[in-house]
Amino acid sequence: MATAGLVVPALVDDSVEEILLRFPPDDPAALVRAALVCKLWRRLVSNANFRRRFREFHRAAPMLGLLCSQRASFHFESTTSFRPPYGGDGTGTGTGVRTQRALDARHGRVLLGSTRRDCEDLAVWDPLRGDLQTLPPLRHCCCDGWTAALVCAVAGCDHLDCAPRGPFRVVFVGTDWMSQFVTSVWLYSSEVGSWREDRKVAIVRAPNAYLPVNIGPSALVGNSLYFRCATRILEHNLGTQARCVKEIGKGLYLDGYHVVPFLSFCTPGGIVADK
Amino acid sequence: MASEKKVVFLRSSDGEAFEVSEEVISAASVTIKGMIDEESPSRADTAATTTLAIPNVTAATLSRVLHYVNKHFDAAAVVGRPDDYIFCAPGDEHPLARFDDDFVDVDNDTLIDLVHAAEYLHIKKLFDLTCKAVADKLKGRTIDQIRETFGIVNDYTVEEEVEVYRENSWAF
Repeated sequence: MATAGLVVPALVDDSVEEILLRFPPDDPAALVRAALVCKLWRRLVSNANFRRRFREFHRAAPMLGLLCSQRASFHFESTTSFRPPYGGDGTGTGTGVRTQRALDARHGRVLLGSTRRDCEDLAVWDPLRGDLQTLPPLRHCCCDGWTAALVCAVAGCDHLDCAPRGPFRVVFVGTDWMSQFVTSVWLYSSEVGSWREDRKVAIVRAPNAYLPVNIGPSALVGNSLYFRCATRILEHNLGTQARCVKEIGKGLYLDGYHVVPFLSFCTPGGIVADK
Repeated sequence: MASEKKVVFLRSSDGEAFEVSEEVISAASVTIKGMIDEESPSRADTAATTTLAIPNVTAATLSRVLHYVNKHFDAAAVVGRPDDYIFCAPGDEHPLARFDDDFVDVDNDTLIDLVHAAEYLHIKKLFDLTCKAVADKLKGRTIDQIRETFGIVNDYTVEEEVEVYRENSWAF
């Protein structure tokens, strides 16, 4: 049919979209290169509807990489062809190195914070676009041990396209030894734009413990977040806001004792598992 | 179901007619099933076989499509579920995986013709298979090679191209 490779059957728009949908999800660079073929292809792959269909088609979001936290910094360890286009620090270096820890990551957003006791520098970072949204400081909050979790706030969301503009919530859990080791739960809603303190939860300390309460990373199971506070598990239900404290491992009162709950706690920093 | 096997004829865009079992093609192609359903009241009392015009598909492509459809229908019938129109992803341990792999191991023009035919005839499994094959062909190629393969004219200006490169430098 083609004599010199010039008479090639044209790919019609619908077919192009269907073909691009079948590009491998673990090689996002291939889709970006396809966008440079011509303007039509660029329009197709940058269309919000296409992005949603792409995620639907491939079902499980691919893991693009790991956020590896150290004491006061983290870096993005890519497991695919994806590289964060911006470092998140405004320099656009793409190295992803920041002077904050990655506390949690979910649906394409990352919660950042330092180890400071005043907990005043929490921020939500969008690695794909490089946007950094600094959260308002948590006033009158000074904690020896704390952590925070980031969750989508869209009811019944399938998380295919809730980020980066959809509402989110941050659940902060912190314990201060000055106040008899009472653990506070604070909630931030991006829709309201402010923090509110929820009921305080008494996490009773063992009499011989002297270290700050060690709060481990959270796990999201169903509609509940689980935080490890010393030898207990604090459960926070996202739907009803109800919470409860469960004792685990009676007799294990030292923070130095490594308690691993029967929950799939993520590695420090969590995983960016969305595009 | 009638005891005798009904057949229909499909006439390609270049005038060649192909015989195919009505049961097979109805199970495979939504488009042709619709055509047959439209025809059926008028031919209920006649023994004449139906000829359907397929104006968008050439004889070369149509014969390939029917080869695929018959092969898959036979395999489904062996399993004893003729309604379950089997599709297997390339690489699966299915007996037809090899057939599918070979089926799409064709030159670009033929493959694109098959994509369009599968789309027009609404044969979902064949459409999936051929689109995936095109995607696989594209992923290892440079931008220039993709344009060349599919005869696409680069309509970016140099400035626009530089801008897109700059915005997505991580991908190159």
